Amino acid sequence: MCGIAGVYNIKNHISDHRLLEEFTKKMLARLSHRGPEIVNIRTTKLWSMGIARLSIIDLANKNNIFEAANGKITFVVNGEIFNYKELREDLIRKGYVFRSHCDSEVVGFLYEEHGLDFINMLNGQFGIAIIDEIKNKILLIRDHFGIVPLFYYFNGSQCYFSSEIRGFGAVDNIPKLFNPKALDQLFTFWTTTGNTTFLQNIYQVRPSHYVEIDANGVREKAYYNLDLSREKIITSIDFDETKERVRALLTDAIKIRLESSDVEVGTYLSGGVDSSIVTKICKALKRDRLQTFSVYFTDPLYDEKKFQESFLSETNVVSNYINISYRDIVDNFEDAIDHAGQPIFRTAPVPLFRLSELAHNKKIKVVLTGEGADEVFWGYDIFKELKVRRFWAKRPSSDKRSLLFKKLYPQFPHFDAKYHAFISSFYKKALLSDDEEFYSHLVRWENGIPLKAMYSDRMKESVQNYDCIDEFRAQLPDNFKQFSDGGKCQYLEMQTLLPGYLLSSQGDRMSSAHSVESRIPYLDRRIVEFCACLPEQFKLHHFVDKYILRETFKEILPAAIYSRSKQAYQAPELTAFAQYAKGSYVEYLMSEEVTKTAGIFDQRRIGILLEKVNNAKGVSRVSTRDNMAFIQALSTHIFYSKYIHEL
Amino acid sequence: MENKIRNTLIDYVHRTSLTLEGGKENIPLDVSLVEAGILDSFGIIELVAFIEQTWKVEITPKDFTIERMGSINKMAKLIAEKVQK
Repeated sequence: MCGIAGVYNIKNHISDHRLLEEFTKKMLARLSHRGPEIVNIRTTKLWSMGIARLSIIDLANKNNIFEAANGKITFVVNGEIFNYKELREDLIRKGYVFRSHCDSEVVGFLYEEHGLDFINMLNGQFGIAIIDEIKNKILLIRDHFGIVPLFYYFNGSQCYFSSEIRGFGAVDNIPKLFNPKALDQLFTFWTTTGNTTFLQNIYQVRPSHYVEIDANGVREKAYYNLDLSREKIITSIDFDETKERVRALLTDAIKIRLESSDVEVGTYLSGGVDSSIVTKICKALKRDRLQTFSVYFTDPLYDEKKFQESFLSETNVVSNYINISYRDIVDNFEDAIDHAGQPIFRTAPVPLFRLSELAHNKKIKVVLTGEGADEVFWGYDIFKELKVRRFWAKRPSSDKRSLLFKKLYPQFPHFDAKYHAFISSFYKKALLSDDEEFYSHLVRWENGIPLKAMYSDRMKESVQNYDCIDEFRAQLPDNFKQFSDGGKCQYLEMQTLLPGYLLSSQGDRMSSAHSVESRIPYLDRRIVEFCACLPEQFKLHHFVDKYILRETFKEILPAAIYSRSKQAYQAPELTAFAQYAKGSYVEYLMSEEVTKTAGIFDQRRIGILLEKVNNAKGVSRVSTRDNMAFIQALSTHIFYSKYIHEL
Repeated sequence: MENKIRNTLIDYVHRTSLTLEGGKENIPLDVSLVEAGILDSFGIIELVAFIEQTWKVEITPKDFTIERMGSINKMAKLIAEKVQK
């Protein structure tokens, strides 16, 4: 992981190269946490690009700006190409001469040899910027599933790019305007979608897309589409054979992620199935010690210590952990949002912000995590909920069918049988919906929509003609209707929460805040593509989620972890702020004065929220919607203050 | 009495709902608050706790039907009956 940034002039606008270099230098300075070791910058009369490097492969190499085509192609890579060794050998056979042993160097020669088709030859996590002086264009490329970030701004004559939007803060002539559409997406999908960011005219390169910018303007194209259509499912596939294939694929995905490193690699261990499997396989593959990193919570509602301990009691690893209290959540929330570079809907990134600090202090630069398994193997409750709703919709009047929700959410008191009539009315609208595309996610999205009443009049006005659900629908792939029910649900997760929150606000941005790179073996392309072909019951078997994964690794998992059902990783929210908001930055950022200055939310609603915070003192559970409203509003004001105008 | 209870319920919803558009006059009296998007499913639990505390009555599982609690008017009627008992 590194930070990359640069500026490219099109239409032969020659500017002062010292100024271009100054822009790059300043942007990289803002990304120094991503790459604290070496900064390389190259500048010509037309462009400047650079990299702040976190050295992981080929530590001796001191210059990570590479060239191809006799210097006509110059490029920087943030991330890792895990299959670089085979690609490199092939290129050497074709006569290409490498000057380093870095994985990144293959990119330029591959581009020279294969053109843009090369992107699909990569198995990795990457954000790439290529300046092509043969075709006079800049190319910005992002990995298949959005693990590594890449943002850009184009004003018609200059294109700026940066690994994080905070880089643009260093350039005064890039306007910093709040994007109301992004907030509207957050209130609906819990994240932004597509190429949207919270700053107007600053875009992210979408996962599995590249952006080409030249004298003709900006062109964004998908180089890859995950096909989850029904016809791809191999119904005749044997369960035991599938287990062997899953074992082989995951083991290799972990192996190449361990081998693509000249520094010590650790793992994040949550106590769930996914990270336990990753840690077990790592331990089996690594001959030397393995350090694990875990989060404990003082609030037992969120704590998974007993599972972590059951794992550690039978696995020889060096375990490290942090204990997260309510105070830690409140004290670190501002910094976490500053690094996330966008408002969020939960506090769960905060413990991971602290965890990467711990890993960094233990001299760990690379961790493997269990992220991605819940999408690929259908671990989330939303897959089960979809199944229950489909079953219930066949006989909507059935009381018994709706009671399955209690089985699904045993921890929530409002799913008790006595509240059945109200739960039914809550789900009824979505239950009978004929929206085949968004059936799985309608309940979630529609639950957030009423919160838009919190918008200020100005905010309401700016989104009055904007329908983010319609916009999102227009971005669906042509064959989406042919996707299986669960496949649609998976696709929607992989377009919204996965890149927009889990891999970014909770993933890359939190680990890179302390110079740690997270690697995600479950999102190895081979695994994602293989699982897309599996029968649904291999993934969700009755009510057992990630069935094939559990069964494949049953013998290496502690019994308590093998049989535990999915516990969503979350952290204390309103209850934490209830304890410590008074007299803190929270009170100020939610004050009438600040709310008025930012102009995003209605003052009376923010007042109600503050009241709810005060009332949540000592309460064990509060409404999900109130939690979300509070975290969204507070993080929006923090973001506004850090990125737009100090409040 | 029912009127007074109704007004207290309206005040409660106005005071605590983040999602109510406009003022008290926009609170529907004959529609389920969950269906209207004014309360989420957890909000019902909070409302019941408020009712039990304010009027010192017990809302039993039998009361949890749309017929008895499916709108502010229905709730006001139910609470009034319980208080008078």
